[in-house]
Amino acid sequence: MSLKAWLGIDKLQKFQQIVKEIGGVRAVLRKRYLMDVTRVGTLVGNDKYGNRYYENNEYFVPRNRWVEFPDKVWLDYDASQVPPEWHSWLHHITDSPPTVQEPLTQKFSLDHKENTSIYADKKYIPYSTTRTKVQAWTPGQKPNFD
Amino acid sequence: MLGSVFRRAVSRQVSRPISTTVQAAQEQKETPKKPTIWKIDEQKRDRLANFGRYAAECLPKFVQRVQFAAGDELELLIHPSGVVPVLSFLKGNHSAQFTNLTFITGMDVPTRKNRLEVIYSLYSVRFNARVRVRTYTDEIAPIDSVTPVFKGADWFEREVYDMYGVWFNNHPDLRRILTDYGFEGHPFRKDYPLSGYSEVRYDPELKRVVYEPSELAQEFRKFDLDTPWETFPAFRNSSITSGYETIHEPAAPAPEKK
Amino acid sequence: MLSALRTAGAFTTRRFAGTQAIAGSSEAPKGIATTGTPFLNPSSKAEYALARLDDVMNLAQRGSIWPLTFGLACCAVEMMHFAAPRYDMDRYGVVFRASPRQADLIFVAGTVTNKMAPALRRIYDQMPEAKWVISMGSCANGGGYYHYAYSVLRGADRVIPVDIYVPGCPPTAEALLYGVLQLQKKIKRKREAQLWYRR
Repeated sequence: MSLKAWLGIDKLQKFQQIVKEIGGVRAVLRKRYLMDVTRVGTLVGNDKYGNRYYENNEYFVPRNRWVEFPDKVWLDYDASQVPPEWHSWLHHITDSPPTVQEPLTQKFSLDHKENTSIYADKKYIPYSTTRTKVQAWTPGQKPNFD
Repeated sequence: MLGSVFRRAVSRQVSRPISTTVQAAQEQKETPKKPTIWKIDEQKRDRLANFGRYAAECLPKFVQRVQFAAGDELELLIHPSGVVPVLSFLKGNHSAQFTNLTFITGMDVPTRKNRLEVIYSLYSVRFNARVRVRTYTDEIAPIDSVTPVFKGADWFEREVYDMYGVWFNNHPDLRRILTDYGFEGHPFRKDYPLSGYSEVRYDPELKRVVYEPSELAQEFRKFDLDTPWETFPAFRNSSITSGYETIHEPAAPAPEKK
Repeated sequence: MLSALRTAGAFTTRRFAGTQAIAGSSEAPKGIATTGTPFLNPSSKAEYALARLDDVMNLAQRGSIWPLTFGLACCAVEMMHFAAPRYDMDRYGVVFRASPRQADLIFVAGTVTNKMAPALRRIYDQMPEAKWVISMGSCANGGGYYHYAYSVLRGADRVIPVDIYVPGCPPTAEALLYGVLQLQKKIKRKREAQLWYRR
């Protein structure tokens, strides 16, 4: 054990190096704000949504692969914004990313879409063919008492 | 030429199934038909059969039939008036010691005259043996509670009362146990509809949960679950009661004697 | 003729510029927009202040959603997995409470029977305001397997208002985690202070 490791200076040096790689203190703070982590890795690939996928095997297994979402989604990122082929790589279902090994595509498989079910205008609303027991009042309309 | 080929093909098609069925028949003759792969301990089965005969001789007034179900499961079919004597005999007899009441359940066969059946399952910890006691009743005739013999029968009998509507005499606290407070009807009877009669919702005006007559938004979907394959071809011609093997039956049944 | 062409061209370029501007703004949010808030266009200074107050309140609320343990059936086991270290709900500030007085959220995990319905409603009523409901699994969503049964409520939303429905029978712990994250997104869009001001 060197003196440096004993004093913990190597950790500080590592941190300094990470800060440098990310690109300064402001960039580190921005990254912590967005992702709650300060880590750097090698860029493995991009997908059509603009997500970037990183890998750094210095971290232990579930944390060694991660995704960085594009700036336009900002804090509205969501797990469903990751397409299935990258999802399988992120979750260690496959060893190699889809950039290396082309994922199996079937002609019946649909294009991946983000889950938009919490947005009022985009969510799926099922309709019933029978009259509901409790009629909801729609605003902007006088209630009918008869 | 063509005719001979056709004939050969037909004869081949016909002869093959015949040969396979003959083979199958031979195999069936070699091994008796068994519904399960459960290995029956013959020694234990003989001891159980002996005990069943002994019990029937000790209690000739109550035991109407002794039988084996599914090979080696002893069943005593008794008159409803003999529930307490038979169960206390099985519990107290030193060569049996059926001290553990595993469960009490009911059965509903609407086509019978006494449509409800009550089944008691007992376990002997000493001899690692089980016995089932079956008795019958209808919607009104009560059965004596076995809570004086087995304390644990309390909730089981409440459950049978709840689900089948069998009334138990001398039960310390015969109320519903599983269904809702103020529930009406006995849901495990065959004439009880699946979806029941009432449903529940929250009424924001009354600020409480209200009960309303059941109204299904979607029709009950009936799926055709028949398979094109026969499930148990080996048991095509055997009746449903062929799984029972009678051990002991008095010459004349007890109720007809009086 | 020429002028007409020119105006058409100008029109197209202007429209193109417009789309560019929109695309640019969505690419890189600037200034206060980077807080991730949906309330970006307040009409007055007071509304602006209240929108920021909303931001702070929503941040605090979504950072510590304390759910109530309300496991009714097999879904409760998946709810336990959600609490256990592999999925680790604690990293989102989600901590189980045993009392409805301390809870913000209730997971309706499992089959709600008719007998349980008044109890569920009472527990929901006992929770302090700003409360949410996640209905977990087919049974709580709409009766599921027991939809036609005589003793089962056909969906927890007949008794309490549900915010997030998590499908599955039972849903995996991952699905429940995703449901909680969706709820956080939903809380982010709450504008209590702004609505109070408008009243």
